Amino acid sequence: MSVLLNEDFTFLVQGITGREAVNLTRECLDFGSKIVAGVTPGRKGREVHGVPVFDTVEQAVAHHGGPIDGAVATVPPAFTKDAVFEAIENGVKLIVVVTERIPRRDVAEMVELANERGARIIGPNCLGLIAPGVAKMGGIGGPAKDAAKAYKPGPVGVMSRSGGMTTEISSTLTAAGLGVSTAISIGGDAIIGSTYAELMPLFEDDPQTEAIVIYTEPGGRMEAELVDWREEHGSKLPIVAFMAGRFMDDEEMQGMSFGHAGTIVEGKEDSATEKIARLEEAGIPVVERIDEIPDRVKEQLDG
Amino acid sequence: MIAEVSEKLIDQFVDCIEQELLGEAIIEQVAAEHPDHVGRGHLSNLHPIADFEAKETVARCGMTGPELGRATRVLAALARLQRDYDMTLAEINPLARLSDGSFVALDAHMEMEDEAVGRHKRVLEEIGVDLSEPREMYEPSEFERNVKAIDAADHRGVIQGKDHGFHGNLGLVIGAGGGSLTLTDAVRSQGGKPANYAEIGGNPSVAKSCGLAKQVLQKDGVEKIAVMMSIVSNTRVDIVARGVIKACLELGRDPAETIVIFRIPGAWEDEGSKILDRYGVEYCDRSVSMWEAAGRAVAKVQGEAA
Repeated sequence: MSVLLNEDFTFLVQGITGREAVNLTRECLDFGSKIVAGVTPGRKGREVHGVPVFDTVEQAVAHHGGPIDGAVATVPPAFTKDAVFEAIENGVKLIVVVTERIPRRDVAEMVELANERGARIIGPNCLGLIAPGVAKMGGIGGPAKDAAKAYKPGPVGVMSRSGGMTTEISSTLTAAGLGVSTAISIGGDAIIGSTYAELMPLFEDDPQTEAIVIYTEPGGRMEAELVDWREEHGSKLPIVAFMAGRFMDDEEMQGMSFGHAGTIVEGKEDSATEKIARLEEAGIPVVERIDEIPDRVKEQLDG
Repeated sequence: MIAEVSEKLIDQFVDCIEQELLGEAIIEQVAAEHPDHVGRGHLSNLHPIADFEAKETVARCGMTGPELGRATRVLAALARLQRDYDMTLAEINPLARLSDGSFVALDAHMEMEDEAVGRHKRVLEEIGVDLSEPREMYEPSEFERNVKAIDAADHRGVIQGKDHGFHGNLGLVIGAGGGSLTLTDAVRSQGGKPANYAEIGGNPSVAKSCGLAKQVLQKDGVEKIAVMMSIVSNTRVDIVARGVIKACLELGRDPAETIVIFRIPGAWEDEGSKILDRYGVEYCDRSVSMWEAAGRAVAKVQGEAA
C-alpha cells in the first residue's frame, strides 16, 4: 500500500503543452502512472506522448467517461487559481500544484475551496508525490530510471518542504536498505494545501508505513502543528526530523529569506533552534546530517 | 486628501477631553498579559467578509454599547482591505477613541505581498508608493546585484546569490532551495567559513552557472569554490560542470585547484563526471553524503590555509 496513490489512480495534467509539463508527462508515464488526459485551453485535439489534450477539464472527464482522480497543475502563477478551481469543480479530489510564486491569497482561496469540496491540494511550489513501484505524480525524482534509482519500496514515509531534498532523503533511505512507502514534496510556500499534520492520518492508516521522516526549515508553524496533532491523537508512528537552515538563527541573518518563499523567520517561534527544541521535547529526534537518518529510523523501528 | 483628513483628526485629537489612548499596543504583550482583550476571528478568502464576523471578533475583546458598532466598521474595512489588496499584514495601531466616541486610526502599517504587487499597480500609484524604491532590509552588495543581473538575462533556470552576513573564504556554488540550506549548515558546522550563500535550480544554462561561479570567485578572499547540490532531477549535472569549469578558465585559474569538490548527483551525472575528470576535478556521486562533501571542501580549504 501507499498513501494517496495506487495502481489504478488516474490523473490529468493542466498546462500539458508547456515545456516542463511535457517532460513531466513523459517521466510519469514511464514510471507507470496513468495520465488519462491533458488540458491546455485552445489546444484541443493535440496529443502529448499519446495523451489526448482538451480545452477544459469538463471535456477531459467526459472523454474519460467518469471521474478523474487527480490533476497536476503546471500553469503560470496568474492562471493557477482558476485551473485549480476548474479541477475541483469537475470532481478531481487530489491536485498537485507545481507552480511557484502564486500570490498567497490565491492559494488561500484554492485551499478553502478544496476543503469545502472534500478535495486535497499538495503544494504549491512542490514536485508532487511518488509511491515507489506504483506511480508518481509530478516531476518528483525526475526521469523514471532516476526516480527508480532513488526510490525503492519500503516502510518509511517522507514529507518534505523541499522537492530536491525529498529525493536526497529517499535515496539515502533506499541506499541503506530501508526504502520508501510514499514520499510527498509538500511545497515550500508559506501557505500550502497539505501540511505534515494534515497528511499524518494517511500515513497512520497505511499498513506499509512504519516510520516517517520529515525535512523541515525555519519559518511557519507547521512543525508545532505536527507536534500538537501527534499529542492529540496519541500517535505512536515514529518520526525522525531533519532541520535545515540552522545558520539563519544568526543575528546577522534576521529577517532575511533563504531557500523557499516560506523560509523566513518572522518571530522567535519560527527559528530553527525553537523548532528543534519543540520537536525533541515531543520525542521526535532532529538530526543534523541527512546520512544519520537511516540509523535513527532503524533505532525507532527497533525501539 | 489623506493629509487634510489627518490634520483635522489631529486637531480633534488634541482637542478631545476624554482622550482614551492606550498608546501603541504590542499585540504579543497584550496577548500574554490580557488574553481577554484579544479577539480572534477567522476570515474566509472565498466568501464575502460579513459585518457580523467583524462584530463577533470585536465583541470577543469585551466591547459593547455604541462603540461595538463603530469598531466593527473599522475592523470590517481593515479585514476587507487586507484581503482584497493582498496584504500579508494590515494593522491599525494605535486606534484612538475621540471624545464623541468615534474611532480614528493614528497610525497604520500595511505590507503587500511581492507576488501580488503587479495586480495593484494602479492603486499603489494613486497613493504614491514608489515601486522602483528598493524594499530590501539592507542595501544589496555588488555581488548580489551582479548575480541578479546574470539571472535576469536568461529565463532558463534560476541562480541566486547572497553575501550579506557572510564573511568567509570558501565560495559556495550550491543548490537547490533546501539543498543550499542544508549545505550551508554542513559547511559551517564543520568549521568552514562560507563567503556567500547561493542557489542553483531549474536547470540553468552554462552561461548562468558560469556567471554565478565567476561572481563567487571574484569576491575578496575567495580562492576556492565548492560546487554541491542535493540530488538533481531537472538541473543537468553536465551543464553545471561546464559552467563552473568555464568560469575557472575565463579567470585564468586551474579548475582542479580552484574547485575543491563537485558533488551533484542525478540527471546526466555520467556526462558531468567525464567533463570534470578531463580537468582533474574531484567528482562525488550520491554515495558521498552532503555532509561528507561539505566536510571535504572545508578540510581542503583549511589545509591550504594552514
